[in-house]
Amino acid sequence: MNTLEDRLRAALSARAEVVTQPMLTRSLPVTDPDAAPVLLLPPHQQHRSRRLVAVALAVAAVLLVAFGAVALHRATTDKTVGPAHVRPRSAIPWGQVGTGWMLQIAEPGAVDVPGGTPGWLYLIDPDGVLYRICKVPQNDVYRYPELAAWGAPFNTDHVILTSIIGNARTSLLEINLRSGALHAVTVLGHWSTAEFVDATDASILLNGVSKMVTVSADTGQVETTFEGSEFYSTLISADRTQVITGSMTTFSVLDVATGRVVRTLDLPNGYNHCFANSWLPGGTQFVARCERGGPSTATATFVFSFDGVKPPVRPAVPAGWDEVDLAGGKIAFKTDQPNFYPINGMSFARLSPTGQLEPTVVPAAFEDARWSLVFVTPAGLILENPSPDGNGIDEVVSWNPLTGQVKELFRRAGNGGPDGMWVGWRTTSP
Amino acid sequence: MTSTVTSPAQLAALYNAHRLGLVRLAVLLVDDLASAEDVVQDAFIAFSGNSHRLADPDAALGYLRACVVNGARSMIRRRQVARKYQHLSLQPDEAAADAAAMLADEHRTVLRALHRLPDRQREVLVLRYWSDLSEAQIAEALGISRGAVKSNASRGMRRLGELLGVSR
Repeated sequence: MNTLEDRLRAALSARAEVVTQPMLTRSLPVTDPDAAPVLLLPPHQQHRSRRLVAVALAVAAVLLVAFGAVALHRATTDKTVGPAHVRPRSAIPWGQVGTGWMLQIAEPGAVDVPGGTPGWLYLIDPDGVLYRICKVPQNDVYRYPELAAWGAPFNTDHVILTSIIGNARTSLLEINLRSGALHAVTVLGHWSTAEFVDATDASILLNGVSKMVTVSADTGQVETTFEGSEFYSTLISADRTQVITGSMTTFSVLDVATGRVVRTLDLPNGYNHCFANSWLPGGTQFVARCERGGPSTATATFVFSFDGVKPPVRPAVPAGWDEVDLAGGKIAFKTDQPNFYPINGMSFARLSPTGQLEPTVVPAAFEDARWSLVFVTPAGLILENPSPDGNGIDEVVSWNPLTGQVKELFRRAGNGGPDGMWVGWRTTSP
Repeated sequence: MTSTVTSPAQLAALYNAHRLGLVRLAVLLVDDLASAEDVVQDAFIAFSGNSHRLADPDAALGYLRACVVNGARSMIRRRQVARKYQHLSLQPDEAAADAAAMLADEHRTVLRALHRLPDRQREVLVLRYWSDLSEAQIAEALGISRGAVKSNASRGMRRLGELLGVSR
């Protein structure tokens, strides 16, 4: 029986080949290596009047400004009162915001709706109370907003959303969670992650995997371009002056002000493609995950010293197992899925200091086919449970297989909570 | 740094080598061949104007792929707006209908389910299971994090399984 992946591959290949079949039978110009490329402009682009285009652009700009002003007014006006478990942002107890709190955006629906109603950004406390922050503009620009940066070590009241827009640009939307105020800047390039460089909020570090820069939070202008062409993850030093990033063969420590490489850190023998995950307390060691070379694609977790001392030798987990550090020890897990982790079918085991595996029990509640492992924190594995109708996420929990403890982080209320799919969520780090 | 993809001959070579593959990628993101060809044409035109900025010539295909994904997304947006305000029913694309008829029932069923997914999930699945890109490459092409690639792939496959009645 073919797997769903096989069925999908076969269907995609069939459609791609069938639909493009006419291209193969068309008469094509003979390829002359010295000739200009065959780039045929569509007629409407060749003959379009510049004046007409200019007028259209001017009208569009006026409309954009008008709609933007209305949207901004609506987004920053906190006047909607929801059900009991949904409170206005004025009720946020800021002194308590910290570990266990989450941010989420609700999408209008699992299937895109043209001109759909805007989604809301919520701050959620550990008891599941939702604080309504603001409406995220759901125009073409913010159709796919991503929560890029929030939480430790500062800026618990500011968040950055990113959204890819046309012409190789990214929009960064900074939201003040206290006031609901929005500030958007456009930067050139497509970027995977964004975070404030330091507590002044003046600069934002952007990582696009093949490039990394800092930009002005006010204007979006590039301030620093970093050396290199591979940037797997970013981890800013405790004093916020240096940043660690991984590559296929090494870790680099770069100066935030100049973008230059300060030093490199060796990877453990037999491992490559390392990602810096988080600092350990004290800020002199960090946790990183590296892929094992060769046929196995398993990854292992290592502790690196920021000063360049070689990482301690760790016992290798058996082939095919993944290894993570949790509070109380190490856990290994195994799955046959390459890209995502449904709990049903996964194996978990306690990993002894000598590399021995001791299987642990998966709570029966997680055997439901919908539960998936989506994130790892030192406190536990973060699992999510989507709605049976595929229209959102019902529940998010933190599970520590070492202690068996399960902590509920979020449960969608059945009595009027935000509808639709939660498209993004972040939790503060312990 | 100077790119080596700026000469017309090299651009032509790139065009001839990758045009069909990129059109096939675009076909899976938009509805029909003509639109897909337009998207790829626009991608090459944008590339020809910006290739001098490309620091790494080996990144040309990745750049073009990202242009195609973005172009397909823009085209779908334009169509959604047009359909919203268009009172007349759109004439079905005969070529697309013919092509659909040539597909096996099984493939049509899977593709129908795929088109019921949100755009982002569909893009991730197409890049993963047709283009065979790695998570990092998909993240770069779509301009999202690897975590977002994982979660969209997970949700997309889960939803696809549900739509097809396959338990996972």
